[in-house]
Amino acid sequence: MLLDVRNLTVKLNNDTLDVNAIDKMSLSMRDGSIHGLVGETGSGKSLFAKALTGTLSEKWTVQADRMFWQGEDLLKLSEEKRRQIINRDMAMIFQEPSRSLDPTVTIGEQINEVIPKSEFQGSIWSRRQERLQIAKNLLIKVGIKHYQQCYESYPHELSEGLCQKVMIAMAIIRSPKLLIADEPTDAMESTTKIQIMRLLQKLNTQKNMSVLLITHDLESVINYAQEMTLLYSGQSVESGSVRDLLKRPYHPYTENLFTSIPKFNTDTRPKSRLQTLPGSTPPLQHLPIGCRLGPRCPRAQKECVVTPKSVKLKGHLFSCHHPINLD
Amino acid sequence: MSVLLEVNDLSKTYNKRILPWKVKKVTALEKISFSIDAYQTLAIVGETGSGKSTLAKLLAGAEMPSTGEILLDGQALYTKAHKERCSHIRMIFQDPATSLNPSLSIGQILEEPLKLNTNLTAIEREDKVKKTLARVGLLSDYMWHYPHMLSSGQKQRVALARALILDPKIIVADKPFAAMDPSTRSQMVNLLLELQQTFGIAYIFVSHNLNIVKHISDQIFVMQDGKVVEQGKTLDILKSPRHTLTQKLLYSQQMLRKS
Repeated sequence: MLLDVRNLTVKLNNDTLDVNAIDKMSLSMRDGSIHGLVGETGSGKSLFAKALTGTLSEKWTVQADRMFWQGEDLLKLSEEKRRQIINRDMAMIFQEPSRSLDPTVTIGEQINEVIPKSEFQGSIWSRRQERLQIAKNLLIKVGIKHYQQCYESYPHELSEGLCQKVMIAMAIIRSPKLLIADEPTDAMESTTKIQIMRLLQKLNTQKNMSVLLITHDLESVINYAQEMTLLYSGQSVESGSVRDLLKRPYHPYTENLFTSIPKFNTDTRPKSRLQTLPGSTPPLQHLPIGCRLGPRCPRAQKECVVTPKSVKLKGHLFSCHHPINLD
Repeated sequence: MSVLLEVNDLSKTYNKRILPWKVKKVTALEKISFSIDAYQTLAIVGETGSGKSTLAKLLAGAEMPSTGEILLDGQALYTKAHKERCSHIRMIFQDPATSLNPSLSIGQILEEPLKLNTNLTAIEREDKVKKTLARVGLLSDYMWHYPHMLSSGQKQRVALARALILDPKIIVADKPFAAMDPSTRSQMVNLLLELQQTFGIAYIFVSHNLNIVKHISDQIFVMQDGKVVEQGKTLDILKSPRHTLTQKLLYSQQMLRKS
């Protein structure tokens, strides 16, 4: 097991407000897999990534039963030690890559900046040459054909897809064990999107690099990920292998999410009504108690005011008092 | 059924000044003709820079066409006749968060087109705003809210309400679902389809999500570099795409397996 998080709670401390933005969420990742973390806006997907990498500000408190990274509990380590591990083993890419690159510096310089000293083998005099070589190799690795041109250009001269490739190149420089991709293809053309997803898939299979794919695009998760975890308002809904979930979802929310996409039930007539849940996701100030899906759930009953415990059944982990498709 | 909107030889070229005495012509949209009926939906798909947003802007009157004419109910529409035009053809934009004025309340936002285009009194206007909010499934209390108090799905509903408030015949939507979550997206799709069935509105969608396009549209245009490379009935085209771009788009969204 690469990553094993149990009952993670992230609390926002404020003078007036004290809310659990993430409420007892669990996630476990196998070594070398692509794991999709799916949820709607404000369900705490990005917050989870931040809590994992320890980049949350003072306002937030993180608690968990355990947060094991390759058998070591990250929360029990000293800050220094933890940072070292994260620095060595994890890397992250973000949405809107053109914004996360420095607009005043060329791509080449930005890549040079992230090359760690341990990568150099020759003497200090050959550093310059070596740097250039490493940067070019990286650019070739992520599939940029005109690497020389790319090396010399500024971020605004490149397309969004190329920028994301550069970001990936910078992330894989130390060959991390886990790449956290936070909505890597959001607001991209479908043809560019598939390039980025292919690249991530290639890195996953060739370098055995695990990918945590954080997205709200269910379609790409179904096509590329092996396992997925669904989040709703900071509570984990269901997790398991993508194929099983598609075939037999236990949680009403999961089923609804799958049927709300026109493609998956191909027998829907064009212009017919799509199935949806009524209402919208609750804002942080007005979270319902117990199961947070409660007010929108078609199967909600009296027990749903108590937060459901997660149950493991046939490889799925789900938390619901009244699951569907049980027999 | 009579033809609601007819477009003949519509095109757009931009003049780009390279040197003070030299002007270079850039064609954003080549000549295009089509027609659309009430209760119908036309979808426009294509890659960035293919001129699909230009077409949407020309239809909505945000840009002057270089050649060609737009006929609504058999009568020519002039770009300058804003008043007449904007009450018949309305537009919804991609990102509701930036298309609504943050310093006005929802009520004021919705009242603006009524003030500019109709002679209704203040009480009638308020009544109309409430009715329109109810039509898109929002409570009339939202009149007093400001855009930042709403979720993105609700904001897009407000944007739709603003388009609906003048009882238009055609709504042009420029990637309305791009920034939406799956569940709110389906709600929005349902709402749009419902409105179409009750009021007979014709939609023109610019989108790149072919799943949604397949579900909601009757006709489809595939555009590349300002040209329509493939057009026809949605189901036919998505079933047997001829042009390589259509195939590429379908393939990139896993609706087609490479053989």
